[in-house]
Parts: sequence; C-alpha cells; structure tokens
Amino acid sequence: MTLLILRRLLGFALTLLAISAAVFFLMNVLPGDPAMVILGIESTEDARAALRDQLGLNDPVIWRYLAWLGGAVQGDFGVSYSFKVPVAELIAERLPMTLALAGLATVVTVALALVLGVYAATHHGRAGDWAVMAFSQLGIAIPAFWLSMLLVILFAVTLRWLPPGGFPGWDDPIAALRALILPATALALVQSAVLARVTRSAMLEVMRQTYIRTATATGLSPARVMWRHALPNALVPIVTIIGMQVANLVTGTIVIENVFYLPGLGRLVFQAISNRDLITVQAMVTLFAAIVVTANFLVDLAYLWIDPRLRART
Amino acid sequence: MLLSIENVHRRYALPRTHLFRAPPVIPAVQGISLTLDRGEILGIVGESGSGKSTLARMVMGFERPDRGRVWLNGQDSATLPRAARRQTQMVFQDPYDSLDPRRSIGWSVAEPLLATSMTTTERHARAADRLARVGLSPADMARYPHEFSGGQRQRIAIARAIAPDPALLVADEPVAALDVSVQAQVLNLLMDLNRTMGLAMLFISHDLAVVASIADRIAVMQHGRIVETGPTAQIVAAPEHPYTQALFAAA
Ligand SMILES: Nc1ncnc2c1ncn2[C@@H]1O[C@H](COP(=O)(O)OP(=O)(O)OP(=O)(O)O)[C@@H](O)[C@H]1O
Ligand SMILES: [Mg+2]
Repeated sequence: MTLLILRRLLGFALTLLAISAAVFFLMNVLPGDPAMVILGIESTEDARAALRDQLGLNDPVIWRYLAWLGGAVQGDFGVSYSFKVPVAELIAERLPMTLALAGLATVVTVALALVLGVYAATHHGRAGDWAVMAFSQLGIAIPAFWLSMLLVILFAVTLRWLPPGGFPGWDDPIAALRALILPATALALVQSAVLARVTRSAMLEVMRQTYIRTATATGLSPARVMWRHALPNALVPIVTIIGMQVANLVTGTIVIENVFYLPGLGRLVFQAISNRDLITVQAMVTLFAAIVVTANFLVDLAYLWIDPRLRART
Repeated sequence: MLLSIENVHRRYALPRTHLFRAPPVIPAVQGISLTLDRGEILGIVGESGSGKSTLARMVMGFERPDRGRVWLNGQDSATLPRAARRQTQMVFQDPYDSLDPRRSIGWSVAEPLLATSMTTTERHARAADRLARVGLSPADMARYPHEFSGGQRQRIAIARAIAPDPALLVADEPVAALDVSVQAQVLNLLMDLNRTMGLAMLFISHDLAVVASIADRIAVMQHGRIVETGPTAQIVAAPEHPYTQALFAAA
C-alpha cells in the first residue's frame, strides 16, 4: 500500500518534469524576442543584444532549462518580462481566486451530477430519466461562454440577484462567494451534464449485480441500497471522469475569468500570451499542468480507497 | 403455522412480438398451495423453469401473486411492513456475487441489524456470533469477500441471513454453484442451524438427491404446479407421480 503510493508519487514527479521540459522547449521555438518585450520597439539592437546576453538567452537551451528548473523547484520562476515583477508573486496573488473558482465548480459539478445521475438510474425509462437525459444533452451542446452570457442576462441583469462580473477581493467573503457563483455555475453545468450521464450508466450497471438484490433482500431500505451499496460500487468510472474533468475545469477558468473579469490565473495567462511574456507563460502552463497532474494523482489514491482489492495487491 | 401459501398464481408477459396480438404470457406459477411449520424444512424440487424461483420471490414479498395469498405468521406478505419482513431472509445461488465487494464481511453481516434498536457493540457481537456459527472466525470480520472461497462466501451469506434472527430462511439453490465436496458441508451447516436455532426453511433445488438429504417434507413442482407432495421418506421410498420417478432416474 505504502509502496504503491510511493510509486505513484514518483510517477507524479516524473510527469511534471516531462511536462515542464516539453513546455520549455516549445516556448523556445516560438517567435518573439523577450528583449524586445522588455525594452520596447524603440530600443536599439545593441541594447537588446546586451540584454539578451544578460538574461542568458544566448546560452544553450538545455543549460537554460536546467537553470530555470533549479529556480522553479525553489519557487523562483524568474521575473516577468512585461509586468517587471517576479512571476511567483504574480501567481501567488491570483492563485487563490482561480483555485476557489475551480474548486467551487468541481463541488457543484459532482453534487449536481451524482444527484441527477442516481435519480435517473433509479427512475430508469421513466419521465425523470428522460428529463435528466434531455438536460444533459442540452448541457453538452451549449458552449460555456454562451451559457455564461445567458446566466448573466438572467441572474445579474434581469433578476439582479448576483453581480455580472468583477471581483471585490477576499476582505468580504460573502461578496467574494457571490461573485464566484455565476462563473462557477457556468463552468460546472456543462461538466455535470457529462458526469450525470456517466453516473447514470455506471449506476445502471451496478444495479444489475446480484449483491444489490441480496442487500435489498435482507430488508434494507431502497435509499440505503442506492447510496451505500450501488453508488460506492459505481464510483470507479465516475472518479475517472472527475479526474479528466478537473483538467477541463482548470483550463475552463481561462475563458470564464475573461468573460466575468475575474483577476485570476486565467486572465494572467491571457495577458501574458498577448504580451509575449514567455517566462510568465512558461510558469503558468507548468502550473496548470501541475494542478491537472495533482488531480490525477488524487484520483489514483481514490481508487485505492474505493476498491479493497487494489489495496491488497501490494 | 409459520408460512401458508394459498393458491398463488403468477404470469409473466413477454415483450410484444406482434403489433395487433396480445403479448405472449408465461404462466410461471399456476395455483400452488403449501404450508410450513416452525422449525420445519420443506424441500421444493423441479426442473429448470418449473417456477421455483418465482414462488420464492412471492414468499419473500419481492413480487405479488396475481391471484392467491402468501401468509407469514398470519399476516399477508404483500402488505407486510419492512421490519416484519426481516423475519424471512433469503440465500441465493451465486455466492461469488452476493456480497458487496467494497465492504468487509463483518460490516455486511451486521448491516441488516442497522434498522433494529441494537447498539453498535451489540451489532458487532451479533455479527461475530453469526460468523462463528457458520464456521468462520470472528477474526475474519475485517476481511473482504474476494479473500474467501465460494463455499466460505456462501457461509458468510448465510451468516448475514441469520443475523436478524429470522424465523424462516428461503434458500434458492444454495449449493448448486458449489463443488460437490463443499455442497455437503453447506448442507450440514443448514441442518445444524435448523436444529440449533429452530430455523424453518424453504429449500429449493433442481436436484432431488440434495433436497432429500435435508428436507422433512418434499413438494415436487412441474410447469408451475405441485404434482406430488409428502414426507421425504415416503417420496423417496415410493414416488407416485411419473415426473418424480423421472427425477429419481435422473439423480
Ligand atoms: N421476470 C420474468 N419475466 C419473464 N419471464 C419470467 C420472469 N421470471 C421468470 N420467468 C419465466 O417463468 C418461468 C419460471 O421461472 P423460474 O425462474 O421461477 O423457474 P425455476 O424453477 O427457478 O428455474 P431454474 O431452476 O432455472 O432457476 C420460466 O419460464 C421463466 O422464463
Ligand atoms: Mg430458479
């Protein structure tokens, strides 16, 4: 068991290493001159050449990657070309907002999908099942940014229940939460539509198993059989999809933060790309990858918790 | 009288095969009457498709008869509240898939007791006792179903069934999926429980020899009807109906 976790941890570290290297070398073949970004187009070629030299941009790529990696493991991602402050500082300011948004969206996704999926499975072939499937079809078909605009028009403009965008900061947690509800919902609805389908079919599969029938036969209530036997046994495919969806939710924040004017990592990545701020983009992409890889690592741990047979096999 | 089955019928409509014709109907059980006393073992024997499992499902209250009634302790089983229904428990054929793979066996055996007024400690003690009665060690409580053999899993399923102290156990082909050597052990266990706990049984099998080894009385089923019934000794010594004689010839 401990061995298994150690092995997964090693895999986790190697994956991150591979991703950061791939991103670094990709960034290097992209056009754009950091010296130009820093000094502006008015600058002389001599000044730019001197700066490139100072930044070490003339060193071999592999050498530069190792230098970057050495800093990164200590939390030093270099200084942003366009913001002229350390990249780590930029990230630290914006990370809480994006994590809160993605976290809230994940909670809404999972809660909504489990309730809808279990409901559809227990009402298989009846009206409730059809309604859930129709909702899910609709959710899959609608693009998130369009859904965002619909939500803003309905809940912010017409009903005036929630702010249409912007972020008031963390000083007032209630106001901060209110600002995150619409963007988190916009992110979550599409994902929960997919996850509800997966939940439904996984539940239908498990409900055919003999141990569900025998559990019912001992005199347990149908609700207990559903939530304590069927759902836990249906979790493997559900958790697999959740792991993949975390990636969608994290990258989805890029679009959603720009639609709702939220000062998070998604906005930063957008700005950094338009400014050709390669050093910032490099750190951001690696960070997004790290979040996704962490989510998958947690999913792997969840499998161990779900299935006692896996726990034994180590 | 613990169980009284009164002229029950059950038909299944198959999916419609023709737009303008009535869907085909299978008369699975057509007019069965049986009684079972406390502490008695009644064997039901009949070939595949004769309606044995359908009868068991109606006794358990999973399905209602189209006609006729099932009385448990003088109460109509179709309207029995869930708490009273725990008085009848069932053991199924497939031991490999009858326990939740995610739950330890102690958890599974104690679960039917959750709806009772027992405390956690009492439930735990009861589960340990029942596992001991079926020949497993209470030390096994933390282990999972996949760590046990088919015969052991059937014992665990039996332990779970007897956890709430039922008066009646419906056993539908409980040894059919087991090796012959293991079959005898499980049959001995069931007879043991019958003696020590006064547990009455409706014991169902397609194998007349198996039924004869355990039952006090035997009812022979064919095409949803009972063709012959009597004490085991009598059925074995002098089977009257040709179908019963054919079953003996096959055994
Ligand atoms: N849910 C159902 N829908 C349609 N037909 C059914 C259903 N359950 C049983 N039948 C039919 O009813 C008849 C009796 O089935 P039943 O399962 O009671 O027989 P059995 O004696 O238990 O057989 P076996 O020894 O194979 O278990 C069979 O013809 C079967 O196909
Ligand atoms: Mg059967």
